[in-house]
Amino acid sequence: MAKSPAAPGTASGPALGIATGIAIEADHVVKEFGQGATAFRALDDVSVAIREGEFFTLLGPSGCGKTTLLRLFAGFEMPSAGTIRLQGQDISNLPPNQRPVNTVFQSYALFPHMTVAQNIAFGLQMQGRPAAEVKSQTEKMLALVQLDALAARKPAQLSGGQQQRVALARALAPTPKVLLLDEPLSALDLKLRKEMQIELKRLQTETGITFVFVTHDQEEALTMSDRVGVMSAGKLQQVGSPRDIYTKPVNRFVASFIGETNFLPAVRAAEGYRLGCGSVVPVSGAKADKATLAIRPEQVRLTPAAETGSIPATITNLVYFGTDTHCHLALADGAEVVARLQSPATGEAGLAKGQEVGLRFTDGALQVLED
Amino acid sequence: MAKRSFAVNDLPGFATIAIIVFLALYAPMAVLVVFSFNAGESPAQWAGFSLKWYQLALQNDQVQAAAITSLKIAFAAALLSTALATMAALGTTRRKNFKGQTFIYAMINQPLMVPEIVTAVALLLVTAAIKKATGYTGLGYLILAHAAFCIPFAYLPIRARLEGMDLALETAAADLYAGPWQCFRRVTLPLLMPGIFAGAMLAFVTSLDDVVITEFIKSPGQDTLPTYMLGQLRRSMKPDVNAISTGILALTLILLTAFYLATRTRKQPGA
Amino acid sequence: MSRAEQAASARSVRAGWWLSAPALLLLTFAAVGPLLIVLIYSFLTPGKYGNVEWVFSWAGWVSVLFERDVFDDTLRLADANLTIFFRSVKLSFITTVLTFLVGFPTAWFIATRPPKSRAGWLFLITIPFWTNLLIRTFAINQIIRNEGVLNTILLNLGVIGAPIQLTYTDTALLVGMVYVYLPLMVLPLFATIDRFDMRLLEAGYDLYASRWRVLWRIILPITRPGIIAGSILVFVPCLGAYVTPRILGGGKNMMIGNFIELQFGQGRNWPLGSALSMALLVIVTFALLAYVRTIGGDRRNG
Repeated sequence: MAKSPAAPGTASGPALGIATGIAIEADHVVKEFGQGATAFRALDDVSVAIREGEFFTLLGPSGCGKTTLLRLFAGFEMPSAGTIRLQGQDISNLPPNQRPVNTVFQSYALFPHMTVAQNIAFGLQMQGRPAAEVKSQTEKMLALVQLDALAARKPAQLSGGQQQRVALARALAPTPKVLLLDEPLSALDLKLRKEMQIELKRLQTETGITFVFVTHDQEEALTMSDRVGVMSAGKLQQVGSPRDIYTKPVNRFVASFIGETNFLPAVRAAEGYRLGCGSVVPVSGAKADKATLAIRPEQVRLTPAAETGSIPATITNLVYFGTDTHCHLALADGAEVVARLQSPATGEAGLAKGQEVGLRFTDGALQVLED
Repeated sequence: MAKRSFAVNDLPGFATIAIIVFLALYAPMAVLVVFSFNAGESPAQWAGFSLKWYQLALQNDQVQAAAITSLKIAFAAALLSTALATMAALGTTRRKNFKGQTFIYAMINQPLMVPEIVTAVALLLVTAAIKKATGYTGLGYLILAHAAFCIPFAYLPIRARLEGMDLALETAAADLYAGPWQCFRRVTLPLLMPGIFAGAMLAFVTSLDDVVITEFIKSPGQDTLPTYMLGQLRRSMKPDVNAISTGILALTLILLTAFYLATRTRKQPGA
Repeated sequence: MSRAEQAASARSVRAGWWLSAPALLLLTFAAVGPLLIVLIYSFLTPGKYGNVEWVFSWAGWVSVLFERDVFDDTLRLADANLTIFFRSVKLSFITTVLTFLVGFPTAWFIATRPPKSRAGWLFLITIPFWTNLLIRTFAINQIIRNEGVLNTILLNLGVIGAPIQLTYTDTALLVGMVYVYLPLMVLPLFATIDRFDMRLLEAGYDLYASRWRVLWRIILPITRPGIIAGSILVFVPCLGAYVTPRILGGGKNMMIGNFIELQFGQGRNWPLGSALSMALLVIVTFALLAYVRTIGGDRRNG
């Protein structure tokens, strides 16, 4: 299994932490729930370092542990083993009300008996800031999320999108060192979601605060983040920029969770790997005897059937998607490949079911995944 | 390294106070029960285990009469109030809100909103007048009075059960050619039974427990267990009161357990 | 609505009334109606051997607050009456406060138990609620009497030399009423706390609130409806308490309930008793209306 590439500068000690710009990090963290035989390991030796000022997303399916990790950062859970550090300082056992870290909850958790302004002011008042500062900071936050007109309303009188912005403003008001966002957009409809994604990105850039964002929506992760951490079954599978995650997935899980991928089992041959249908795909530096080749549908090119160096295939189905046409193909040994072609102006791909074609993979797009 | 999470629900000291409260609530009653088996007379000194107070109580003519009266009234009142409450629940639930429904609701719950002493006085005046006019001094007054104030206690569990019932079941019955009465008898009523049972339990317990109203409107020579005990407490403190109390406690406990078992939401298919 | 729909709707309403009629009938004659009789009797004259003479008189209502001087027939405030009223209100109020102070933690405790055991704890707090009032008062009396458990233990331990006189004091009434009415405070509090969204607490702690602040600024304001419901459920019965003050207070520390009973017993002043009952009813109704109004307001605030 692939391990997460160590982020540069993961060092311990207060001084080193700040100098190398790590906002918050988990160091070999394990979290178990329950006892003995029925113990459930939500996080299994997870280490990740999130840099100052970056928009970092934890991405994964339900139950992968991303929310648990977030709660460890916030202080609602404490690690069974390992350390949580904030700017180099160990905060593993610090209660949440003593951590300069704030959370935007999935359910917003707005105080129903307080107005919008009072909700936003709450954290500032708990910090004991003078009344004048509380007032000015609250007004600044209201302006930041454009809710000035609704300051005196109660949460029940607001729409979902507005409540979301209040939750955001409330968490940002005390200027935390790190802002944690637990699937904050999941309750919004599609259009509002897209608007809020842009809004969140703008806020993060403007305030410069480190955001740790949790989601199961890979498109969201790719569009908003500086870096993404992909998680599955309590382990961190890969950490990298959206581009790296997409084009260079390190294992089968990441490759299939992000976008669509064709997986072709192959064995080592002279210049690369031989597929089950007999064709050899040139790969430099092939090491493993057996591997899975991963290629994205948009990187599969169709050529006339007899072209040299192309893999023979037969078209089994054409699915028209408007912008794209998905072309389902079968190789000589029956293996399935999907190619994504941009639809021509007339919509007709000029292809037909049963047609014999050749397949080529774009240079550098093929990923070799060790089994 | 701490292995627990930050206990969000914990408020300091609350658990301690709660446990003390539970102990304090049960301790006096436990003492009562324990000393009903006390061979000695003084409730503060244990003189050995004995059932003599129970024997005394059971042999006491007045206690017997009072117990029988209590049970008679409770049975009759529970029956009457449950029947009336069931009809009222059927009439006020799962219907579109109609004018006057609030009025009905207020009337049904009225006994809960008026202090018992006021109701007792009111009933005293009425029964005194009727007694003077008719000379009837039977159990009728008590039964009717008890039935009246037991109605809300029977009504609430039945209504709750009715509201929780899946309308689709009766729709299905109608779809299968059942007429309104058949539907009620074969579908609604059986499903409602736990609620009716629970309501009857509560009504029975409430009637059994009543002191004030019974004390005010009973005729001379009529006594329920609570009024008998009240009379005893006024005079001497014979320990047989302990035994009677324990008996009533036991009965209440059994009825309450039956109530809880009847109202437990069990996972039933389609219900 | 179509004609058929209107007809069906009308049928439904009629059925509703017919079904409720028997219950309403019984309640009218055995619960609500008699209250009117009380009002009427409060304006009559006391009969020589109890009951009433059908002669109109204000005397009943007047003697609620005033008494006539034996010698010069002037009216002055009836001190004895006022003492009783004041005691009743004072004790009811203190009981309400005390039951709240211990009842809230208890309700919180039950509501935060794991779901499996919660029903068990709820059952435990409900049993005292359904236990005979007389038995519970009797049980508490056994504890605090001069020959009771508490004094005997303290005497045997040598902590005190002579029994502490607890019965027939206001303190005894307080202890008794708190003991008897505590479940009435806990149950509505539990209902409200059960509906409370615990995630709001996480938000509070996330925003640097201490445990005390979370209680004061988040929990208590949101559970206000339950607090008010519990307070009413304790205050109202306390005000009209009869059995508990009678057993624990003897004839001396009377509350309104005992005072009313007196008028129908030795006092032989049925009109006064009726007037007092009416007055009590009015106070209680006001308290209930205030509750309904506060609940309505709270619901609007979400």
